[in-house]
Amino acid sequence: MAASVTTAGTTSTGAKIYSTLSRVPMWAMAVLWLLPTFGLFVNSLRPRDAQRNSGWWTLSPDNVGTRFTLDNYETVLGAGTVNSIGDSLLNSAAIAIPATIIPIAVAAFAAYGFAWIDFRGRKWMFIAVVSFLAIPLQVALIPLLRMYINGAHFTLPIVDKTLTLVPAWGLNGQAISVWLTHTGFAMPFAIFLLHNYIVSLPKDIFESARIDGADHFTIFWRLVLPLSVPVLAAFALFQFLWTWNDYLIAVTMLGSAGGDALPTTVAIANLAGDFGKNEHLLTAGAFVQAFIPLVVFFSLQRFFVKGLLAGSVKG
Amino acid sequence: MGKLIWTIVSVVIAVGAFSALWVGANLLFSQVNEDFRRFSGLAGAIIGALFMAVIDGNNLITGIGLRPATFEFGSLHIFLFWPVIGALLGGVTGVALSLRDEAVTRLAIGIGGGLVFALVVAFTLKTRYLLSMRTMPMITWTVALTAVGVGLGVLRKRNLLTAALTGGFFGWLLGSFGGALQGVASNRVETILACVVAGALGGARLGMTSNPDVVGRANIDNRSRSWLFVGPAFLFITVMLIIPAIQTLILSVQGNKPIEPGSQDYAYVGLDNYQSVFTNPKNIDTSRFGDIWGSAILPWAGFFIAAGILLAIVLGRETKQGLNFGGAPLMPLLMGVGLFSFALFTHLRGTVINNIWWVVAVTSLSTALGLTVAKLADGAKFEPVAKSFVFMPMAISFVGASIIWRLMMYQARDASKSQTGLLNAIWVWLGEFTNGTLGKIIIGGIFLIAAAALIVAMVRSLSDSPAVAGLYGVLGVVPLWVAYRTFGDGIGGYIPLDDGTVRANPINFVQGLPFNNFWLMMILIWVQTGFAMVILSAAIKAVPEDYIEAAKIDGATDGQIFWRITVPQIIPTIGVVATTIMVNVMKVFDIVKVTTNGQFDTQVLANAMYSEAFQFSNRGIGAALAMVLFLGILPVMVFNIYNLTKED
Repeated sequence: MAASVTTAGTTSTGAKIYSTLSRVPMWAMAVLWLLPTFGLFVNSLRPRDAQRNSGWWTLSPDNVGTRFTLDNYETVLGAGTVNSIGDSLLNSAAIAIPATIIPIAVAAFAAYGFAWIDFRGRKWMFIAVVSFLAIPLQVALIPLLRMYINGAHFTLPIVDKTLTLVPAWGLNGQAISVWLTHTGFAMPFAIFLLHNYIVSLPKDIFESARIDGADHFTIFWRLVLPLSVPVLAAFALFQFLWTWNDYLIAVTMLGSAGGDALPTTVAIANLAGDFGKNEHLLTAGAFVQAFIPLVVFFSLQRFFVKGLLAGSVKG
Repeated sequence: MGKLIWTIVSVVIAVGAFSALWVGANLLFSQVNEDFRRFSGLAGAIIGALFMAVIDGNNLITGIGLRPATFEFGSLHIFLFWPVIGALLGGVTGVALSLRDEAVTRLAIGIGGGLVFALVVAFTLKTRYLLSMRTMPMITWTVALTAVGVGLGVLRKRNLLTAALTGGFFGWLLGSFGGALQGVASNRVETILACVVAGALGGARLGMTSNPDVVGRANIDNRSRSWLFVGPAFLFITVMLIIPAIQTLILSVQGNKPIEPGSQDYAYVGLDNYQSVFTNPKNIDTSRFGDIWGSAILPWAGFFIAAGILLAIVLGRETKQGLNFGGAPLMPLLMGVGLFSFALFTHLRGTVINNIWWVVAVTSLSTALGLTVAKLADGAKFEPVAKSFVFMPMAISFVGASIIWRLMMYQARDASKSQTGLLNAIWVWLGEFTNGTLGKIIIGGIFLIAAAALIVAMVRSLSDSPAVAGLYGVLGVVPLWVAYRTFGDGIGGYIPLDDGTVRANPINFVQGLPFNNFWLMMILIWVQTGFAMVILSAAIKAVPEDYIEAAKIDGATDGQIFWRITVPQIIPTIGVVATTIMVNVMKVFDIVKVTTNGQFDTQVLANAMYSEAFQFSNRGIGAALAMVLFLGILPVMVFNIYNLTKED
């Protein structure tokens, strides 16, 4: 090892071999990281018996006399069948899309407000918001579920009269409870990420716009939003992946009501719950569940990386 | 199909309603500068409508018909009646106020508006809410709050009369309504008195204001915008985070079940729930600790730690520093400490300890692996491709990742059947292969070559630096030992039978103690490594090129450049990555829920909290577990706040 060190600048054969060999661990790790997902994909195309009796790496299902098939996908996506997760795909979309758009809007306003509107207590409010970045959502789950079931009531002190702020609408089991929860929990990170970007926009454009008589609403709408597209896209990507892949909030708010609004994560977790029986469908189900985020992820990877860097490395 | 349409409609409604509300509010406040009369009228109408909606919505006053329990379009007029009346009254008052500037007229308009509202409420208030006033509380509260108002007015240097009016208004409300006996002796006259005085006081306070001039309008604009922009986010955080967190704190000191079945009252039990969290053997389980001495890991941990200390002494002699733990001794030391904690945690189980183990193992391994890939891939051909392979699991849900690993990698089948989980297939194959002569020679040979290479490296660097040579020697012991085992009993998953043949012995990765916890952690490590890699890779690329060039010219090796230049430069980033991963790991839930649901000694806090609160209805214990989780993350929160306040 110590012997194979080459001085900078030389390109001998030995150095070439060394530099090629030094990449072996990298590729080994990359392949190792890809392997489980690849296995899932292969197995999802193999019929039940093949999945049960031979490893996915044997690739060809011929040793049990069958071929690759889309049967698992047909069962999993087919409407009306017992193990269908087709409906839950729509549920996932109905959860993830609003739960992405609403937080973006709310957080963009707030980020602009914290960055460019001067008001008393701005700094401390911002610190308070950002300090919630790390708060585990478990601390809010029990009261939130109670609120969705029973509504929110406030007992006035002294008068001792209970006022109803939110009636008992029975929001648990409905997508709106998940939207609201996701929006609340997305706030600290969203505001932090968008604020970092918006506060770094050049000050001149705001000043000249103010001089031209534009109010904050106009500046936000006409200037800040168009300029912030990259960071908004980055956050949208995060939030979409997070809400699409979320299990805890969905199973808490929707699972207890047992309705038909369950997203894919809950659906395939339930499928995984009855051990053995449906394992061959689980592969196709899990792949369908992962397919959409993977497509979104790879098509927008550029934004994702930028967002990650902006969010974690302050500057 | 119907589902699809409903989905789209509900999405459009949700997003549309929210943006309409916000844009509408902004347009409303844009009127402050454009047309103050319009603003004043609209604001008055909205306040009036909201006021009546709250009172009517809580069934305090008589409507124009019986409201159905759930909303129907047919009964829309019953729902809208009072809010519309409120909007009209408030709107007229608002417009009238904006038209007049002279103080007396404004006062009259304000009081007039207040009185109309008061009379409407007083005459329609339902019989069971009618008041029977008590003089003492009424006077006490009114006088007390008026005094408070004046006091605040003095402190804030405001007009004392308006301050007194504000205080008096609230004092009267509290004293007359709060102090009264409701529905005992229903008395419409006293109710009218209570309402009228309140209305007059409030109206007078409103009338004491003056129409804002240009500066005042700019102030209103700025203040209102700050609330419009920051308000919605703050509302969401308050309703979804702050208030529930406080409620959870309260729930955690209450009992699990109501005092009587069906009631809503829970007894306060102090810290009992916390006590049970920390004393329950389910949560801190030391019963297996005695087995640690039989662990095969412990001798290795001792070996590496001893080797590390020995090397530190050698290196200390070299550099004349006594003991030197930097460089060569660091690696065996870290390995030793890692193995030791591994042995410790496999024998200490329970929810709380498992959670700590998750945090320690996943954080350190993800960060280390991420750094390794970032370094290995830096500047390589097809770097983005290799990196996106490692990165990809980040897009997969924890539920999906758990299923993938459980089925593709960890599946363990009966020894008589072929294995369908990759890891077991390899393990069993290795066992069979190394029990034949050919297998022993090939596998044993590979490890012997590795050991030989390390020993050669040791000999070559002996003259250069005895400490580095020692490191190679220590590392060489590992493949040497594996080769010894291979030539002896063989390695891998098998059990020798009496007749000389072997039987497969697959590992039960998910259910088998003591290592199952670690295999569950692998799933999360698989997901988090990509995150660490992306950030650390960017940090490595940001290390100034000059430093590295200069080191190269001085003849530094790749390893030296990495450890002495790159790593110290990116230490802050490593800290950020580790903290972020730590916070995520602390809350681990989905993986444990889907793979074992906490059985086989794999329980963690978040899953215990979910089961207790939502499956066993032990809400007190559930809340206490959530608070313990919060306490675990609290240091990170405090650190974040400290960093933010330090910034400027």
